[in-house]
Amino acid sequence: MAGLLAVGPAMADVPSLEDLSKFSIEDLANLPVTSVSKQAQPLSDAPAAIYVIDADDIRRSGANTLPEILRLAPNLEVAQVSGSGYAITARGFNGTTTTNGAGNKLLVLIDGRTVYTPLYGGVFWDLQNVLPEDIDRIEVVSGPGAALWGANAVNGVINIITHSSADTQGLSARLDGGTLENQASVQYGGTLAPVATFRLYGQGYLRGGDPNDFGTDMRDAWNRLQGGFRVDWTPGDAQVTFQGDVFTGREGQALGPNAVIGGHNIMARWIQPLGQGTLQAQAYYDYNTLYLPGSLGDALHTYDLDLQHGFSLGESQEIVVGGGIRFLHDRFTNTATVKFLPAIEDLHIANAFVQDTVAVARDVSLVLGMKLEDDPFENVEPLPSARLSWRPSDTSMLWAAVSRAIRAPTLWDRDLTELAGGQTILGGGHFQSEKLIAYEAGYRAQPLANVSFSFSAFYNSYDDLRSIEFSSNPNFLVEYANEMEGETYGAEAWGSWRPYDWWTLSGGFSLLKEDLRFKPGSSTIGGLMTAGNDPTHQIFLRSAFDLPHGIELDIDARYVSVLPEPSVPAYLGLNARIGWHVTDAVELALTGTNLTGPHREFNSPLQGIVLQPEGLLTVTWKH
Amino acid sequence: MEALIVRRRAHLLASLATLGLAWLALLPWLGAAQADDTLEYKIKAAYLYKFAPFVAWPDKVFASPDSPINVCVSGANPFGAALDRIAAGQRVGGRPVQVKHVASVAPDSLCQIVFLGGSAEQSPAQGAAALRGQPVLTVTDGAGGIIGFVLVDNRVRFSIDKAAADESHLAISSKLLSLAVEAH
Repeated sequence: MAGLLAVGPAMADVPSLEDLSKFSIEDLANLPVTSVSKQAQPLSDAPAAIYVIDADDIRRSGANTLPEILRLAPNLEVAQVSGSGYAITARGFNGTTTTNGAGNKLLVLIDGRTVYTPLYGGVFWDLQNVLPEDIDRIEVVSGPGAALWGANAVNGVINIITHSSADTQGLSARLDGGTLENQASVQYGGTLAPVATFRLYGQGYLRGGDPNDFGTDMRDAWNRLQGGFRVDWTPGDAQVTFQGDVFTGREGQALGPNAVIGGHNIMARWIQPLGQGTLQAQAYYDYNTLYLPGSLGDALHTYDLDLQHGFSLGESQEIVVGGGIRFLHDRFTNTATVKFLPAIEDLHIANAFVQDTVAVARDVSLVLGMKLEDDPFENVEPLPSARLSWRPSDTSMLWAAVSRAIRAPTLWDRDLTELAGGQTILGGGHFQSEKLIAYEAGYRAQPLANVSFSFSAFYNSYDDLRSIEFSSNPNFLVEYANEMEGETYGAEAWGSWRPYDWWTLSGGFSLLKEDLRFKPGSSTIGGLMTAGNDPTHQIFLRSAFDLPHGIELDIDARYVSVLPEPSVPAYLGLNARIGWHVTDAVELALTGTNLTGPHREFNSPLQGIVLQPEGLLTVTWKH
Repeated sequence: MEALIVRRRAHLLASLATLGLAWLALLPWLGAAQADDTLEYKIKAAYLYKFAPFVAWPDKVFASPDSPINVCVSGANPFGAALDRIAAGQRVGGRPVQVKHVASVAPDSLCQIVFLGGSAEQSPAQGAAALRGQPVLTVTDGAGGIIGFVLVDNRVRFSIDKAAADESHLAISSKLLSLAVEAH
């Protein structure tokens, strides 16, 4: 069940003594202790529009890749752009590098590692991969999370959290064979010492190509090989985690040779209880590369260090303070027509934050946050937020929030230079941060043991949005500037109902209205579509049946309304999965995707791929 | 221009580093200033009396079928009021649960379950030694007692010293043994 406020100790709220007295001894053994750390705090308790995708939802979706798993969140827009490429956002402004580098207002973290690229502020989803079986949960926040999380958390935060290696012990394997996708993965988890566990995994993934609307093969087939490890060590009362991954892949291109992708990352995290609080230190190194042989390419090294301390102050305040520094070294391989100038950039990002959760009354709490972020191109930006919540009962919460967030300049905004016929078309770059003041409110509740729902509404006021202007510099024709502004507003709702132990129905809805405009005097080049391409509404419905003899049946439908520019027709997507637990160790599943027929999700009829109905047979084995 | 930016950045990093050092200097003070009423100890408090149904004491321990089960805290009390509140009014197998606070433990302390918080005159290890062989379920943070709390993966779990339990004539159910991270 993906609903919030789940019954029992899975409930993310910090349980009261009364709750604890009702828990069984097994429940006590499974209750997370930490409640103050930024990484460990279950966000489901936060006064924000948060949807949690849990491990069972992921397994029952049959999805193999992160973007396909993210389709489970009703507060996200997920559109497949190519075999390996996706445009994903929350609350609008969706896009990719193929649409002017929009889709740059989301913060995505995998076990605390930030994975949006400083190249354009979006995520190269083909470079991000986690074994679906290893995901503990994905917390999807629509709305700004800048006070705690940082400058790119403008429209949303996706926080992907994997299982501890203590929870993935033993040998397991999964094989998928289908009409479009093939996958094989093997994992082994064991113990290194009484207080240390590990896992090792390897995975190969292969996906075929797709046609465009005219039936032309887009030559977007791709493959990826990945391996990695995680070690969890608990010396005394500390928790220490080391983890890392390495991958390589090839991606077909509509024209020219295959692109090559690759990368590796390594992370260490130390969480130390200290007095009544928790001190956490985390460091990681991440390298990834993406290039077209003989043409453009990008190689990025990221070094990141974060420290934070969460503690209680007196009876009624929970404080988290912290800071971090990130050093980025990016090298772009320029071509005759597309250049990043300078081609080699060293960027520093530093931040410091404090968040105070004040229990104003027994059932009212106020979360005040302030983050100072020093981004590579501009002065220190203050990112404040205030969130108020009221719990009229143990199972309901009413909340409201005001936040400021920014989308900091990226290399794309500042360094990108495009030439045509020896003439510089795009260049210069005095682009400043895009700024948002967001007003939100929401209500969520679990009125009955088998019913839960959440409703949230927002009004976002944006200033200094990116526009393309004629340049005052005679060396360039146009440059990026900040001559667009506007408002977006909308709502999200989702809920879950379990009429019988064997049947869960869940649904979601999102509505988005965008009222963007150019400021007076703007050159209005490219039109408002340069800001992104979004549906006004989406509807989600999911039905999960647990049938006799260990059989599961899942039906998942989504309706996405028209995208305006480039125009993409509304579509209804239907997926279904039948799973059978043959024995405790073996599960067989047959998944059908896009069963209502072909549809396009993004880009023009010429550029966009048309997704075809797809079948997939999955065998999972756990020893 | 570039030099200016670099200098400003170096200045900011230096300020952040100084702030960080100042913070580390403050930590011991913050740690000492707080009462320990964390979720961790609330969970441990709940465990303390919830262990009871999984343990069989020798019959002679209880005067009658409705004699109380005494859950004691010896020395430092890390639970604050949590243990007294959570155990209040609870019954285990028809026996009411009573919470007692004692400075130290001896074989005649009349405790069936005791959390050894330790004090200057009797450390948790000394408390466990004093009760060795007695029909008392000793519980400690870390090793030492028959049951030792450990944090595993951010959860409160426990190990069981089965040899010490046998010596104390306590029969511990296989269910509790299976929940232990380590039973030896």
